[in-house]
Amino acid sequence: MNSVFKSSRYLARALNIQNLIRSSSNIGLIKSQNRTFSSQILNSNSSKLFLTQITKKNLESLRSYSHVPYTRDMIEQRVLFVLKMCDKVDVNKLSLKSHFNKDLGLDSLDQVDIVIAMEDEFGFEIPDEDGEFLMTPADVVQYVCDKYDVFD
Amino acid sequence: MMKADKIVLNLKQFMLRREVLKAYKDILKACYSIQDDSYRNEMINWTRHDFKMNKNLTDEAGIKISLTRAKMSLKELQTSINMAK
Repeated sequence: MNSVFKSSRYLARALNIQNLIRSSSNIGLIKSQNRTFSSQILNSNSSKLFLTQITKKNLESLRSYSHVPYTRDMIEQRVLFVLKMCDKVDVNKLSLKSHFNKDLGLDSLDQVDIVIAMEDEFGFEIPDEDGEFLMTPADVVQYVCDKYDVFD
Repeated sequence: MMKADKIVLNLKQFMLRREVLKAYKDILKACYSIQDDSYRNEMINWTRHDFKMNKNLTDEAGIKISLTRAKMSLKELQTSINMAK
């Protein structure tokens, strides 16, 4: 564990130096120094495999776990997925335009169930006044889009 | 269903309907905060079943009695959930 940590620190340092080299590539001295430095690391460190496996590209992909911007399409998929999970909803009749009451035959209590499921899924509270007017999946999608500031 | 749509509620009935829906939501939310899986599902099903059973009540007094019962159950539920924590 310790050696892995150590090697990752070396790697970070090496990458840093490489970046420096790239910005001032015409200085041959530093370039050769860097070569000896990195070869030293490779020889001295026990976990060679670790160093060679993790390239700079891999590091970048590791670092890209940040907030993914929501798209309308994504929200639609999630809303429909949540509705499919409800056991009262008839999957065959379900579409974005289908009315909860008229098409799917759900009553106001089921509608409250759906609102709670949406709150669970998207992680914010939907007040009762707003929940009453969410009559179709498209309404729910629009409401969630407004909450997340998605305009497209 | 279509028949139920045509019934126009007066203000008092409308407010009562809202209160019932709010009670339903509050109880369900309290149920969702139960840690144990089987017990949580049992409580959720019990709540749904009880509300569905009284779905066809029309007289105001009957609804109010059920609503009071719901509120008392919610209080009881909340105290027991807090005790379990």
